[in-house]
Amino acid sequence: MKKELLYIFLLSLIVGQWSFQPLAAQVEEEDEILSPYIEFKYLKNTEGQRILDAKIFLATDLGLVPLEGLPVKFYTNYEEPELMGEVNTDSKGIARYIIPEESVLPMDEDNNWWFYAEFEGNDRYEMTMEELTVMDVNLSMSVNEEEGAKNIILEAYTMIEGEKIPVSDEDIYIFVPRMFSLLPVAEGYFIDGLAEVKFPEDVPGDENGNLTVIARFNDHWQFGNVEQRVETEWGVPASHDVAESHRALWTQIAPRWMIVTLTIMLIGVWGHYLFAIVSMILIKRKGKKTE
Amino acid sequence: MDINKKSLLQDLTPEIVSTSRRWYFLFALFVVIWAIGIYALIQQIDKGHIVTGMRDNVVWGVYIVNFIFFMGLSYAGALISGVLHLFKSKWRAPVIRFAELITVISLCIGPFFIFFCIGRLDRLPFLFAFPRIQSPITWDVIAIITDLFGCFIFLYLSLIEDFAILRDTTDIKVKPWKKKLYRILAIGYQGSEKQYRILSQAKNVMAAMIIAIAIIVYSVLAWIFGVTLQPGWHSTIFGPYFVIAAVFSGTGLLIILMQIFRKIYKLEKYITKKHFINVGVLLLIIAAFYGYFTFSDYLTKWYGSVKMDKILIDKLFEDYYLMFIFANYIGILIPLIIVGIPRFRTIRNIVIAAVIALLGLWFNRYIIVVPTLETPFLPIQDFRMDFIKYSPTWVEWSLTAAGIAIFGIFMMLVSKVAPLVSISEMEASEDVQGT
Repeated sequence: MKKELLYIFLLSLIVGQWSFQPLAAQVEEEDEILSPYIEFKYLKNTEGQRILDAKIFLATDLGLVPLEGLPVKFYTNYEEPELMGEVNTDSKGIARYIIPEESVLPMDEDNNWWFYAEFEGNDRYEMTMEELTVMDVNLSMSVNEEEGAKNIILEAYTMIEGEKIPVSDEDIYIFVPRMFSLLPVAEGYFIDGLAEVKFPEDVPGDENGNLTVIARFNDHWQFGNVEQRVETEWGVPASHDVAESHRALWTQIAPRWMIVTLTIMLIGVWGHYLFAIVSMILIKRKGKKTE
Repeated sequence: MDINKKSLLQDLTPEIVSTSRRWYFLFALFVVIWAIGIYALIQQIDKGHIVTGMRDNVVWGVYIVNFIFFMGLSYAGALISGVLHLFKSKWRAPVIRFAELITVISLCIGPFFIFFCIGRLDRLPFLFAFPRIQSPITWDVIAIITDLFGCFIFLYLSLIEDFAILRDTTDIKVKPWKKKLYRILAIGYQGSEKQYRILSQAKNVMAAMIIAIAIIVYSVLAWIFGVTLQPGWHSTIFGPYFVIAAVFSGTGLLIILMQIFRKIYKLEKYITKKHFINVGVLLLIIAAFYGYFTFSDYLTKWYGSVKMDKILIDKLFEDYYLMFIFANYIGILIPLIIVGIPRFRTIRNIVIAAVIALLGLWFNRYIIVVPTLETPFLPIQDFRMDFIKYSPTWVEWSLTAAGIAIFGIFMMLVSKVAPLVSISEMEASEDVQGT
């Protein structure tokens, strides 16, 4: 018995060691210093808020793995870097810093803002940093509908030394929000600070046709991400009526054949149980008689 | 073998008469393991499922693996005991009670793993209040409850004669409260011809029923997987495949329990090499069938080369290759070789083959459940490591160990009130002489 127990114990050890080796290897990997990547983005949203997003992640065979809880420092002023703030990455690996409205950001000679994000590293991950320069752009959007045609009018300009400079020869994209990301539905082109974009007719909205339309400089080389959002009724009302299907699990009632089959089976089985219980009662009665 | 009724009673009821130190030690050990499991459960209830390895993608982990595993053991016990009873196998007497106990105890433990897996336990009553007949989950709930009743009735029927013997005997010293209990449980059974006939008839009917129910119920469990369109699960052979796998694991457990209790309760006289070889041959036959089903399932998936099936099989041969090889090669071939070659058929080897078969089966369940959930049709949106790859945590392992411990606890408690080897079956066998 002791020998057998020993064999079984050894066998369990071997199996455990073998079978969960991938996990063990994973733990081993955790002892190495890993090199994360940083993705640094600027966004100016509809409210005029300026947001810096630094996403830290690892590139693995399984895909990009975001890293949570890492402190990221945000700096501005290229000549003499000034710390604006420090934010920890969230569960999606993003450290978001919202630049306070009252902040006066120093510009370089080309009227650009310089931003720098840095994770200083720790005993698990190497240091990583990224910088970007953006020029402030003012984007406005209005929508109108004439004779059934849905138009988006966009205006964009930059301010250089107090002078309004219209944006020209730049693309702008129109998006609508969908479940996982923004869906591009149209694009326009700025000439002398103005762009007019025709909105497509067949974009689904909610059940009343409500739809958020987003105009956006998307990862623009000079402006970064700048967007304007407008609520419209331009969507095609979505129908949530589900086509009737008798095979679906969500139908009101099960198919008749299923109910009949189940009923027959249950009656058959529980009938036999009843027979067994009755037999026990009979045994008891016979026992009493014998006594 | 020269055995009379008195020595038979004394040999088969050691823990009913008195409690050995070994019993206390083992019981305490199981209780400690169980208590750790309870602590883990409290942690899980307090902090939520975040303390487990389950996340949005892999929502079924070790708990479901354990659920399938325990239910498999249960159905196997039902099938084996039912078949042995119906076919009146001469050698069944010392093993049939173990098979019956495996059935009922596993069936009581298995569903608890589902409860551990449910995030909103407070909604569980809705399953009974608003059942949807078209849902495989509802089928499973109905099936398990039906099976539980059936197995309890069958176990009780097979115990009645033993309870009557223990009630009437003067050959062993039984505590008064136990005598009183046996008087109630024996329901006035005197062994008269009429009573014997009624009891035999009821046992035969229930034996046939529990075979049918075990096949249906485990198929229903397989269909929970089979009717979904997940890669690796949507398979027409999952029903019979699960049934065969269940019998395979149950036979393995039966051999292990035979050996453990044979040693602990010194039953070497009753559970002999012949019994191990007979159950071992059963293991061999089932291993061959199980290997055939496994090969057939993976071959058709691999040959079909449906995109997601291919990704899944690649994953099995890369991330899970050791587990895959152990479950589907070693776990099948070793029992085949050990029991297949007469020279290797010693009790120790058969027990080792059974342990390998049992472990292989657990891993087989793991690689059915987890890799599929790690291979969703829609790309994983959240790329955190714990979303991509499931690793069970200490909480899940503790509750798994607690499940095994509670199995041991139940077996030991049963051994305090009922003989683990059926006295009446042994009496009826040719080897036993009258008083």
